[in-house]
Amino acid sequence: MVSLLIAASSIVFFQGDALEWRRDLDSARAAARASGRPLLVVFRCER
Amino acid sequence: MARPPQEIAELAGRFVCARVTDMRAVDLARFRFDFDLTFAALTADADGRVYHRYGSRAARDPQSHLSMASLAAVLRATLAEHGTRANAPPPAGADAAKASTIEELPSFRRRDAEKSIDCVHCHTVNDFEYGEAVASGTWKRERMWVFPDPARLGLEVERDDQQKIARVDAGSPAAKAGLKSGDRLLVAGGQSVVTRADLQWVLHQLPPTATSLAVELARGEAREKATLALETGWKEADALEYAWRPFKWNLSPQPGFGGNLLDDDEKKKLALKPGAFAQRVGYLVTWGDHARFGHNAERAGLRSGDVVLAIAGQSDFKSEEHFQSWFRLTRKVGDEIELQILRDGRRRTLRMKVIE
Repeated sequence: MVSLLIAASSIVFFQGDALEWRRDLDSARAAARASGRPLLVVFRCER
Repeated sequence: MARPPQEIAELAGRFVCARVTDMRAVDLARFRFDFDLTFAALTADADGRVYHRYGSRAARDPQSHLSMASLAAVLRATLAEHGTRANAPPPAGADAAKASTIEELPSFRRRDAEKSIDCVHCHTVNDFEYGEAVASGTWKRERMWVFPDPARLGLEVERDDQQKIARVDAGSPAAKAGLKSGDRLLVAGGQSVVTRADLQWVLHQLPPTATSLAVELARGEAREKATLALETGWKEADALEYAWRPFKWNLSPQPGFGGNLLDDDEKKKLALKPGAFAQRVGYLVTWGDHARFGHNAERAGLRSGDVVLAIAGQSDFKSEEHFQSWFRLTRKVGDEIELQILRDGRRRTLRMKVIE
């Protein structure tokens, strides 16, 4: 059940429209520097 | 469109989020994780200094150490730590560390030039770094033991609350140091531990020659310190534990063949016991970079369609991957190995000399 939850949720997590996901780490770091927020970097294949 | 769970959305909304699907331009000096995984996350500051790692797996289940509760926990912990760190000036040169990408590896550039690589998967970082080390003569077998499982210490943590120790194996380094199930592991090797992956990162960085690991625990209201004594070979995984890793495929020596395990119906037709190991040889490796390994199987006289029943007296393999992992971790060049096989209904013994 939990496995299904994380598997399904990870897709929801990434594809949901509630979060802006950057694809470029340099721009993410620049945004983190400018905003004072930490980075959350997720590595996951799309294929 | 579906939305992420509310708690995760709220927590992640306080981060700058990045999703990386191609390792080509990733700074490997800063953003290192267990590259064999298909899901990993790092939390870091703008300088790329990592707070925590998330994502780990068990041999038989890629998801069993992941949960939304543990993901939320690492996000909360990071926000708390970042609140402290963000008010402090960055250390001198924090952003000046030399970046290192996979594109700097000559073997990667050669492969990319030969056959344009359109997407660099996480696990291929291990492959190219391994190949590079072999080619340059700097490879050491000890480098194989990437991100050791906490089982190497004799403990396991809970899935949802990954600071909490779920199990301590009797007689293990963890048990001898006095760790108990229910303890909360807060610090290991001087590093803050919030996740299983954090602990694996600490173990990954420790050399195989390390003889101890200092930890700090919360036990009820008390804070305790303990030191785990590490024995020779503490970092080495067994074949089953290592079987899921894509990294294993490039290691040598290799048997030079593979194929599916027979199911019980197929075994019944061959008068084999249901629980017995039986692997039908589906292929000999005669192509690509690994064709040389196929010589091991060819010279032994192995043929496609043979059914392997035992190799070097071993037949306790749970899967094809377990067998492949076992061969790479336990065999060495120069070994002479007996294979018990079934061909045309008759049992035969073949001898393989591991030449590559």
